[in-house]
This record gives sequence, C-alpha cells and structure tokens, in this order.
Amino acid sequence: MMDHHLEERLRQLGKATEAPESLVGGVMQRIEESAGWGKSGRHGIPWGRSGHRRAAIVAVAACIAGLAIATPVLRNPAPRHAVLVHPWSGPLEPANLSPTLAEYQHAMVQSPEALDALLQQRPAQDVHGAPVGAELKAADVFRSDLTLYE
Amino acid sequence: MESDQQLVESVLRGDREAYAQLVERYQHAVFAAALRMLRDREAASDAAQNAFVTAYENLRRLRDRRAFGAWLLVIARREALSLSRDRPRMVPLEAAHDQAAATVADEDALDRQPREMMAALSSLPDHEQRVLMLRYFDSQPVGSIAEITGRSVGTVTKQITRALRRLRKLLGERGQ
Repeated sequence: MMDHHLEERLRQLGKATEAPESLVGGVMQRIEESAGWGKSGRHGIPWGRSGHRRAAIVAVAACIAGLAIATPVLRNPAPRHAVLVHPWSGPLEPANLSPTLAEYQHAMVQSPEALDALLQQRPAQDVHGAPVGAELKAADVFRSDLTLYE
Repeated sequence: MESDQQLVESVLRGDREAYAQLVERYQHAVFAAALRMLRDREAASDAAQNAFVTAYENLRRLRDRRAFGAWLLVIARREALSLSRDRPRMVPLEAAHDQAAATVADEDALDRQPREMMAALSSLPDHEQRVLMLRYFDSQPVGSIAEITGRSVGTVTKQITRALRRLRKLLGERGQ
C-alpha cells in the first residue's frame, strides 16, 4: 500500500469517527458540577481520592510524631522547681530542699555536731535518683577541715 | 499554539479555559478510540465525556505533562471498556469481530474497512496513535503537532513515518 493511499484511508477514518457534536460544553458542565470549579479555593482542581489519602497519611504521621515527642516528656516530667546544677555532676537537688545553705552556715558556726546532724538529713539521691556521694564527700572534707582547726 | 504541557499547567493553576482547549484538541481522538470499542456513537460520546472528566480529576497525578494526549487515550479506552461492561449488549470491537462480525456489520457505526483500520491504528503505541490522529483526523500540520506534543518537528516527522510504516505492516498482516 502506498503512503498516500494509507494517508487517505486515515483521513476517511477521521471523518467516519467524528463526534456528532462538540464534547467541550458537556465536559465542562460536568466538571463544574462535580468539582465545584472556582468554589474550593484550590483553583477548582479537586483533591481526588489520592489527595484525600495523602491528607489522611499526613494526619496519621503528625499524630505519631506528636506521640513520639510527648511520650518521653510524660515518662520523665521536668521538675517543677528550680534545680541546683553542679558544673561537673549536673542537676543535683531541688533548690528549696531542706537543709538550705544558710542552715549549713548557721550549723557550722554553732558546732561540728550540728553540722554533722544536718549532713545526715541530706537526701541520699538527687532528683534523678543518682547518689550524691561526691557532694557528701566534699561536705565531709569540709567538716574534717573544721574539726582540724578546732 | 500552546503545548499540552503549558495547557495542563494552566489548568492546574485554575484556568478553566485551558482545559476546554485540551478537550477541543483531543475530542476527536478520544471519541474515535471509544467508538472503536463500543461501536455506538451515543455510548462513545458518553465514554469520551467520562474520559475527559476522569482525566481532569486525576490531572495532578500526570507526571509527564507532555504525554497528556497519550495518557488521555489510555483513560478513554478504560472508560469505554467500563461502559461496555455496564451495558452488556455493547461488546468491544475485537470480541465482536471474533464472534460474528459479518452478521452485525450493518448495525455498526463503522463500516468494516474503517473499523479494521481503526483496530490496526489502536494497536500502535499511544504516542504514535496520537500523532497520526492529530495529523490525519484533525488535519494538524506537523509544526502544530510538534508544538502540541512539545517535541521537535524532526521527532514528530519520524514518529509519523514510523507509525505509518507500522500501520502498513499491520494492515498487510490482516490482508488489507
């Protein structure tokens, strides 16, 4: 078959397969009816099923991320009071915990026994449950120094 | 003339007139593809409309916007197939041809020769169908087809030549 003959047959086929009337009006009307073109603020392009699915996935991911962030905080809530922070050992104890520094100073002036009694009142653990041995030892050294000068 | 890609991007920005241009551009090709499968002009018109609406609703999913026409033809065939399932009296052309083509030929919207030509055309790759339909159904010059498809004139010319060669071979195999 020659090319021009084939081309002519294609043109004939084109004429035989023409739509009876333009589809433009019907299509645009259906789109406007189904999508509410211009009303959605997304320029009328509907989200479609994939868009809704994507939005749902994003919402679920946001929930999971929120839980992941919130869970450690709930498990170890931050102390509601101020914390003394030692430069080497980190948070040590709540600042309002008795005995206070002023009480130690007062006891120190009174007698070594009074200071010793105050040291016995110190908590054995800091707010995180870690032993406060180093600080107690430091206090002991301080007490022994006092004893030495007596 | 704006390319398919430009028009698709305009539609996605909310330009309704751009989609009307795409419908105008491809209505013949889409209707022909549906008619080949449904053999009923009214049903083909319904399927073609469905195809355009479906394409519009899924336009954001089209990654290669230059391929709008080929993508649309795939949707049109799917819509026609779906409609033929809903209306059992309409059978796809290939099935009807195998069953009793001669007995129903008079009722067909297409005569036998154009129908077989259409069947051969439909078996070409989508991008080749698209250029042949634009060239011979809509009498678009090669330069316009190049603009529409976003390809060079040389590429479109090659596609048309290759498509015609393939079509000739197919028709030869079918004894046309």
